[in-house]
Amino acid sequence: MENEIYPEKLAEILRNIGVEDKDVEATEDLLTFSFIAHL
Amino acid sequence: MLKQVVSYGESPSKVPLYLNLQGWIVYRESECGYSETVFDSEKMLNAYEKAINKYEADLYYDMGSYSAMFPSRCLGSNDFYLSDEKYSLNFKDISYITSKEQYLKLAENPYDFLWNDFYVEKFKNLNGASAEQTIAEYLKLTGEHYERSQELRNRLYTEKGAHFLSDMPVYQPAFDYLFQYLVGMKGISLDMRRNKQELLMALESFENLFNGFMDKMSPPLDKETMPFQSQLCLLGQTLTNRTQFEEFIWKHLKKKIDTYVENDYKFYFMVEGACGPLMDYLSYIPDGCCALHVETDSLDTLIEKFGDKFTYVGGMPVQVLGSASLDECRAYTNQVLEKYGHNGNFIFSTDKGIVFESDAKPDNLKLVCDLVNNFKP
Repeated sequence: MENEIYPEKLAEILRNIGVEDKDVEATEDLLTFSFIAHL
Repeated sequence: MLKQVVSYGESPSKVPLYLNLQGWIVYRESECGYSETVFDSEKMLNAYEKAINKYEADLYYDMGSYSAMFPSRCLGSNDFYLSDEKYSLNFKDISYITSKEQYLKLAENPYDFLWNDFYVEKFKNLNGASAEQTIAEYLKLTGEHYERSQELRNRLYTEKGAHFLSDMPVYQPAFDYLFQYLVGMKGISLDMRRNKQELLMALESFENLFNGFMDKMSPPLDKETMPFQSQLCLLGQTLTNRTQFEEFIWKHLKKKIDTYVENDYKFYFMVEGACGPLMDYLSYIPDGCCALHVETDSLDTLIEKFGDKFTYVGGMPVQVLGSASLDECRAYTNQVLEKYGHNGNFIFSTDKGIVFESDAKPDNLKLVCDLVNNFKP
């Protein structure tokens, strides 16, 4: 899919912005959970 | 005192007051307009601090976590209407799931569905080259807002003893998540019939994902200092009959209540709209652990049916607060306090959140705070 972001691109973005490898999965979880409730 | 009011045999020294302040009553305190304030973390928290200082209560819902719009703007969402004139924020009618196949994808791999089908469609700034900058900005904005709001929250707790329900982990069944954020009311009402099995599978997956995450990320709250260890919020019962409620909502809700009981939690339970089919299931909740706040069913009906099982929250319709004269408001408040305030299991509040200008005259709200805070049970 053209706009596919998960999983590879998202992990790459998080690493690029300074998230350490060990924290990538937890940050993905945090974003997945936080985004749902934004209007 | 809030702890005492949800504990059997303990009599608090006053009737606790809980206020859910949103929209007009808060943001009229801001020197800029509504939309300028909700897009700015500092301006929003300043408006809340002024409102909380003006309307003194023991418990508030939040300091704007519901109406903060800077995360949505950062992500590029257009799923809302803002009205500066009415100080209001409304959902657009949404429907991100329209087929059996999408439910199945959600059931099989919720991360894949959420990111690749839902978030990239809803949040335009996650597309293409802007995604990296958007996520970096989002983490920065929300991190800074969290720090700022914690600082204010700690100050208000130290100076005034004010608690915030938003500090307590919130549980919503997957059904509520799904219809509020992904499918819409119309969509889920149709899908309970036309895509029943696929919807049930998607709900199971969603429940495990979100409420599993909530459990993992929310350490148990201190029972000594926090009045509640969790809060439940339910709206989906208004869309279901009894059979549907049992199949689509109750099985998840019951499991959550079981974990509260196992862990000896006290919890606040907000029922938006009418209890409907939930009414027949409330007796499942053990005595003396739940503060029950219902929006439309009368407290008298609940007390007659359940007696001392619950701590009851409410008593003041926003319709009265928004339209009565000062004398009428005083008489109504005193009547509520005399009727429910002597039993040690009542938290005074409005029936629903104070959102619109028509929900509360500021002088009436100030008077209610004074009367409740000075009432001797």
